[in-house]
Amino acid sequence: MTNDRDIWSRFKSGDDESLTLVYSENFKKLYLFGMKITTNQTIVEDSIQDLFSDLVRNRKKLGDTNNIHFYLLKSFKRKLVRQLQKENRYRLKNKDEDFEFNITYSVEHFIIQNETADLKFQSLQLAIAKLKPRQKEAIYLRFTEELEYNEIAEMMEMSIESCRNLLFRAIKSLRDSLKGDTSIFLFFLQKLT
Amino acid sequence: MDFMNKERFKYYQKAEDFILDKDFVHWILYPSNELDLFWSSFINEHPEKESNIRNAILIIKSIQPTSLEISQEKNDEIFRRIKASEEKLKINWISYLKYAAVISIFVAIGSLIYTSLYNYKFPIEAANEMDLKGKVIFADGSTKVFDSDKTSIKQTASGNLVINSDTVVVKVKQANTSLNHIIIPYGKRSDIILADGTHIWLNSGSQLSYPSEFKTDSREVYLSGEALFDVNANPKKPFYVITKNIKIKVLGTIFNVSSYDEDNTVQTALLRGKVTAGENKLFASTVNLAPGELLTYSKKNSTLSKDKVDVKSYASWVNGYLIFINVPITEVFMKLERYYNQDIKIEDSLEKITFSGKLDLKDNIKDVINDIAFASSINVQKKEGFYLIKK
Repeated sequence: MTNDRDIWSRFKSGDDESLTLVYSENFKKLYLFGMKITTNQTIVEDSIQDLFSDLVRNRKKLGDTNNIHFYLLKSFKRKLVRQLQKENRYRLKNKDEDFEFNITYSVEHFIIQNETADLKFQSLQLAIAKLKPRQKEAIYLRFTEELEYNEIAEMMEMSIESCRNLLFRAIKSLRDSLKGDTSIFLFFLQKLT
Repeated sequence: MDFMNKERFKYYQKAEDFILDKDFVHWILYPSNELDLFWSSFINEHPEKESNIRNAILIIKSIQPTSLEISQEKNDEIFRRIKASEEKLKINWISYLKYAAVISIFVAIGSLIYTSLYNYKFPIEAANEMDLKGKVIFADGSTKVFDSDKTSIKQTASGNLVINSDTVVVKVKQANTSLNHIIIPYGKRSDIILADGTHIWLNSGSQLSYPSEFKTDSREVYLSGEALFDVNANPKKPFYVITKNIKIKVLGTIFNVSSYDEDNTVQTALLRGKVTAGENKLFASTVNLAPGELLTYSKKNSTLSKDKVDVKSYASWVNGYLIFINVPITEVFMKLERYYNQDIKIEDSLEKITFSGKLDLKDNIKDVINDIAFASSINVQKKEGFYLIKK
């Protein structure tokens, strides 16, 4: 998105069309991201409303950005977590690590080519289920939202280096799960044929 | 993709190398003819990398979350809400300019009406959660702190305050609009007798603002949190309990109000007499409440609804009991957290379990929690600084 900076500056100068554009391009993404952090739809919806109402209210005072998507995602997460903390202030300590990042991964839209892939897929699902919430969050931000390392690091309040490590270890554990199972599978296949 | 840089792919060995490359990921998520072509020829040129690339594709696809259907209506509804808040802002501006152009007296009147319509500010703000002691903040800004678990406060007609039989002399005679402010922290309770004889029991984590003397033709107090009111009848001076969301008009009666900031609802249970209640804004429609009825205000939908309930159970905390009838267990623990000022964490899986029973609040928190756990067959673990409730 090369024209993010333009859209943003038009929005800041009070242009209504750019608000509609920014909203419609980001609403679903924010909503889905929010639903990974909590199942409470009301809070997710209220936080989105709050986010945009604040943006409109303070539009003249906003900083520049050339990545609106990241800017919104980051402010949205902050708002949502604060809201959840307020709501659950008895249940949770103050750090957002207490918010489990939950993802259900889909099988449906992944067309399974052959039985090998099917088996691989199952062992992958198992490996994914073992990932820690923070790994899941980093994976979501990287492979669904396509954020850069520095952006993920900023959102998750960690250094870029540890963000890289976190992702690398997660990916490696997924890859390792493929290795083991395929060889076993091939071994059986050979025996059968 | 930066095709200038595509040379780098030749040096990739493992599946991870491909997975962690943004351009590779982008191809999987948003394939295009151009990219498909590039990658199929790449695989042709580097057949030794094919199995790693296939694994990389498999992994990236498998970590895509299930998409959730979000209706267009939802999208539109929230956009409308955003626009509505923007409109309000615009009106604010235009009206202000308009008023500014008119003679000063109209400005005064105009903004007064305007303030009450749009910029109404609830006088009670969130208390500092760290405060473990209760206190009274007097209208002149001076404060008096008290340390007892159950504090009795009496406002005398002369303007002085008696706290647990200590008289606090309030020096300055206050104007009738200025308010005294009582803050009761979590884990503590208090009861207050106002100058007109009205008796108010304040539950944990609650705040009450009231004038030391009711001089106008109505009696208004502000509440955040939970309180039981026994209002002294005076038809000439109706008594109002004003919470952030709703306003309750009273002639003389006993009722319980629960209006915590962190709760999604405001509840008013009427034990005796008659009250009317409505949203806390001008021209709001009101609902009459009969004894035995519970009025619930939903903060989310701004709606009022009435139910027939066992209202006594709503006031039982005053006598040191909590009575629950089919109440979600999360709500039960929420109340205990406030009453004992004790962190309790509950697993989400328990959300659907309900609890019925009577809890004696004279018991210590450990016994109370264990009683609930026994009755509901759930698990309790004492952790550092909190209890963990599990299935």
